[in-house]
Amino acid sequence: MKISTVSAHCDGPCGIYDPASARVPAEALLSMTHKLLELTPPKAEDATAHAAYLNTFSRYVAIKESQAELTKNELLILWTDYFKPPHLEAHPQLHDLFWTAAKLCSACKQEINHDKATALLAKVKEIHTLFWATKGRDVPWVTAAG
Amino acid sequence: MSTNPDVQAHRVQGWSMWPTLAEGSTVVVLSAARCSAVGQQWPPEVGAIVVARHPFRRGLAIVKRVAGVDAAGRFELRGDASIESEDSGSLGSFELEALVGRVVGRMHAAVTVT
Repeated sequence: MKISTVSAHCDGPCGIYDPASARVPAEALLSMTHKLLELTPPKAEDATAHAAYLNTFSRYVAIKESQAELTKNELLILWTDYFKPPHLEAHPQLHDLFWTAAKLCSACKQEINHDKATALLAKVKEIHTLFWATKGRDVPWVTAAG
Repeated sequence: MSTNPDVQAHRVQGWSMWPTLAEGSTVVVLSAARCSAVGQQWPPEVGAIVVARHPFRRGLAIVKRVAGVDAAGRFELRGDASIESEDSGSLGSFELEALVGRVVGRMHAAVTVT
């Protein structure tokens, strides 16, 4: 029997979601956190070197901030737009998972913290696994940083 | 069933009619003409679930609930998942001619979510 479709869509749907959009900035955030932790300040009396150091440090922090914000935004889009009530019934941990991940994004802005940036990427991986499970697809977790 | 234009099966895409209709469920739709013949109210009353032509997207049929009828006889259609539904909130109200049929039942209501 031929069955046509009727749309019960929720918004102007592109229908394209992928946790990779959160994974890339979460990796960038972790990378910038590492780079910040590895910076060594110059001697205070060398004004030129000090200025260059502060400039570099500031730029790394700015990138870390923006990547954390981007990660949070992408996670919130997935959480609020893609996931529906039946997904929550099948995965009761969903809300806590996203809540924790979003809070880690904020913590990674506040601090230069390797453990929290690593924990965030681990949460994004959990979200990746859960997301593709809802689609019945086995999509491997890959990272740009290897 | 497919040979009868008055009785159609439609598969639901999307979640805007949740919790009444899940994505993937199949609804039975009676055409406007058939509704009158079998005593189903047409034009549909407030509360009826209908299939309508999307006003801007050619060939797209949408399933929503009649939430109101204004003084001009135009229909306000809303999704049951009211806070995330593309419906009269953004599409405006619908002429009766845009309504193609009435949902009278579900053939398959199972929700399969992994």
